Amino acid sequence: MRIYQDCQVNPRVLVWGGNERAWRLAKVISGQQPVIWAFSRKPPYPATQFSGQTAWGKDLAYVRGKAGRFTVGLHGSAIEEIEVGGIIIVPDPAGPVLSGLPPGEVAGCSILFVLMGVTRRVYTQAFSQIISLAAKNRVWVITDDVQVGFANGEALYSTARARGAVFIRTDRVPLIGTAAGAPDRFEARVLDTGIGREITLPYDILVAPRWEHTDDGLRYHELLGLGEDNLDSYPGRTNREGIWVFPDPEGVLTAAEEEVIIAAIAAQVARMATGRVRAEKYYEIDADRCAFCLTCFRLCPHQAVEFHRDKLFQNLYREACRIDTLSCRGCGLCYAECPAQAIKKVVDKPAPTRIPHVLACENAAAGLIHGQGLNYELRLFPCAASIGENVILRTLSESNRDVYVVACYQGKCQHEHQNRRLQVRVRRLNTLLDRLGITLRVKLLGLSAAEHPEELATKVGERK
Amino acid sequence: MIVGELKPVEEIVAKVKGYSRILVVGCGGCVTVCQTGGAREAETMAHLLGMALRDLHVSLDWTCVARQCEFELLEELKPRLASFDAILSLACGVGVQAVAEFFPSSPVIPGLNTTFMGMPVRHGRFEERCQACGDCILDLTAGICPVARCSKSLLNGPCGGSQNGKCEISAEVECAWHLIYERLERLGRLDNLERLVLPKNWAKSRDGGPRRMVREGLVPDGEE
Ligand code: SF4
Ligand code: SF4
Ligand code: SF4
Ligand code: SF4
Repeated sequence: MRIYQDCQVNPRVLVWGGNERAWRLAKVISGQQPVIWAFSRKPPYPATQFSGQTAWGKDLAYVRGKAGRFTVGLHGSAIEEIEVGGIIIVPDPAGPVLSGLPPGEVAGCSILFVLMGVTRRVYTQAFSQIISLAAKNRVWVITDDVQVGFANGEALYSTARARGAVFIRTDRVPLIGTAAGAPDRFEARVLDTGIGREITLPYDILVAPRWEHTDDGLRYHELLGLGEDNLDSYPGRTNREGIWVFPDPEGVLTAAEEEVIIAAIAAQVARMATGRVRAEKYYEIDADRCAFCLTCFRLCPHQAVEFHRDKLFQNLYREACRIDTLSCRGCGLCYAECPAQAIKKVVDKPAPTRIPHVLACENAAAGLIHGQGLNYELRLFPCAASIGENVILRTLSESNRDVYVVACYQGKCQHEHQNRRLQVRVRRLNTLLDRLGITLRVKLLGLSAAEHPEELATKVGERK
Repeated sequence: MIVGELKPVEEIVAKVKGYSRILVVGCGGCVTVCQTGGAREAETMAHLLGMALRDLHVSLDWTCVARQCEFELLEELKPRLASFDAILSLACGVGVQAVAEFFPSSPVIPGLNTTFMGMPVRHGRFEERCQACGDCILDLTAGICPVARCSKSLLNGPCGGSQNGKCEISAEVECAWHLIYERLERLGRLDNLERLVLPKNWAKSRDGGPRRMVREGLVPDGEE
C-alpha cells in the first residue's frame, strides 16, 4: 500500500540558458505549459518561434522554496522575483569549439584542420565545414581518431573523403610553425602513422579547436545548492527535486541524444501542467514531538525539509520541521537520524515474521528481493540512510546473532553517499559492543542490484 | 543550549550493576538537540545495556519526557516507577537532579557528563560559548567571550601564547583574543582594546556559591 498526496504546484517552468538547447527545450515546453525562457544575455536565436515569456540581461541571484513552488530572484538593475514550479538550467557545454574558420567564401587555399582529442560535438561541427570547404580548397585533417558515432557520421565522413579531404591519423600532436627560409609560409610537420614517416603539410588557413568555458554551469550548481557529483545526472532526473540541470557538461551528445533528453525533461515537467501533482508520501514529522533540533533540515539530501509554524503545536516552539511531500524522495535519513524519534513512516511494512539478521538497502539488494528459500530473513529499507543505529541494535538484541547491513557500493547511492553514513554508524556500534564485552557484531556489506542471492549468501557465509 | 556527552559505556555499566529493572529516561530538550540524550539515545542505551547485562537477567525499558528539568513534566513517569528499581537519566545534570528531587526514593544514575553551554557549529560538532559568569561583557569584546573561549579566561588579552590565531595549549584551539581583535578591527572599534577591563566580580559567578535568580514581577507579595 502506498499513500499519495495531491500537491498544488505552479505549472510555470523557468528555462535558464542562452544556447540552442535551451531554445529548443523552451519551445517544446511552451507547447504544454507556461514557460519563462531567461538568461543573462540575449541569445542569438529567433524568439519568434517561441511562444512563452522571455527575460534577458538578468542574472540568477537566488532560488528559494521547493519543487512546485520556487521563487527565483533575478538580478537586473534591481532584484526581480518570479514564481515557478520547476527550473531547468541549461549550461553551455564547456568544451572545444572550432576556431580559425574563415568567414565568407574561401577558394583555392590549403586548409589544415587539427582535431586532436576532441568530442563528437566538435566533429559534427568540423565535418560540415570540411565538406563545404573541400569543394573549392585543398583540405587536410590531422586527427587522432576519426569520430563518426553520431547521426549521419559515416555518411559525412564518406562525403568529405569523396570531396577530396585527406585524413591523416597520428597519435602525436603536429609541430606547427613557419616554413624554413620562408617566414610568410606556414607548415605543419606530422608523423603519419598510416605510412610510418613524418610528412610536411604547407597550409594557408589553420582550423583548430579552442577550449572554451563558455558558461558557468558550476557556479549555478553552487547557487542552487546542488552537489557537484550530480553535474552529469542522467536524462530527466532532477538534481534536487524540481531543479533539472541539462546533462552533458562536455558537449559529447549528438543531436539525436539531445532530443531524447529534451523530451525526457519536458515529460517530467509536464506533470505539473495542470497545477496539481500526486506525490507519494513516505515520512511524516509529528510536530508535537519535534524538538526542532534541525537535524532533518540540515541532513536531507533532497532539501525536502522546511520550517512550519503553527500555534496549535504542542512543542516548546510552536514551530517544527515539516517534510514537503513533493520534494521528499523517501530515503529515510531523517527518520533514522531524528534524535526525538518524531519522524514516522507513513506506511509501515508489517513486522517480519522471523527476526531478520540482514538489513538491506533495497536499491543495493534489488536482486535479492525475492530471497525466498534462503536461510535468512531479509528486511529491506529504502536506502542505507534509513538503517539507523536503533534498528540495528534492536535487531542485534532480538536476534542475538551477528547482523549484516547492506548498502550500495561507494558512489552508487541515489541519495548522496548514504553508504558512508551507514559505515560510520556501524563503526561506532561495533566499538561500543566491543567495549561492553558483547561478542555480537554488525557487518557492513556492499552489494549492487545486479548481484544474485547466492552472492549475498556467500558473503553472509550461508550457502543454500 | 546545554551540551552533554555520553559517559564511557563501561562506566555506565558499572554504575547500573546491582539493579535488575532499569528505566532509561531521555530528555527532549538540550540533550536531544546535541544527540546524546533524546528518545533515540534512550532506546539505543537500553538495547546496549540489555545485551551487556543479558547474563545477569537485568530487564530494561526506555522512555523520554519533554524536559527533565521541569517537575510537572516528570509526572508522567510516576505510574511506571513501581516496576523499576533504578532510573538511568540521559539528561544534563539539571535534569538528573530534578528527577532525584521529584522521586525521593528512586535511585537515579547519570548517563551523561554535562560538559558545557554551547552550540552546534555544524552538524554533530558542538563548541563551548558561555560560562555563565553572571556579569556579561560581550559588548566590550566584540561578541566573543574571553571567559569561556580564552583558555586562561583573560579579560585583557591576548597573552604571549597566541600563535597564528591559535592558542598555545593546542593548535586545535582558536585564540579567543585573536578572534576578538579581528572582529574589533572589522567593526572599527580597536580602541576598545585600549580600555582596561577591570577585574570582574566573580561573586556573581560560581565563586559566590550556588546561585539563584528571581524574576521580579512574577510572584505576588506575600507568596513565596
Ligand atoms: S530531526 Fe526530529 S526533532 Fe529534529 S527537527 Fe527534525 S523532526 Fe524535529
Ligand atoms: S526521507 Fe529522505 S528525502 Fe525525505 S525528508 Fe527525509 S531525508 Fe529528506
Ligand atoms: S534537563 Fe537539561 S538537557 Fe533537559 S531540557 Fe533541561 S537543561 Fe536541557
Ligand atoms: S562574559 Fe560571562 S555571561 Fe557573557 S558569554 Fe562570557 S561567560 Fe557568558
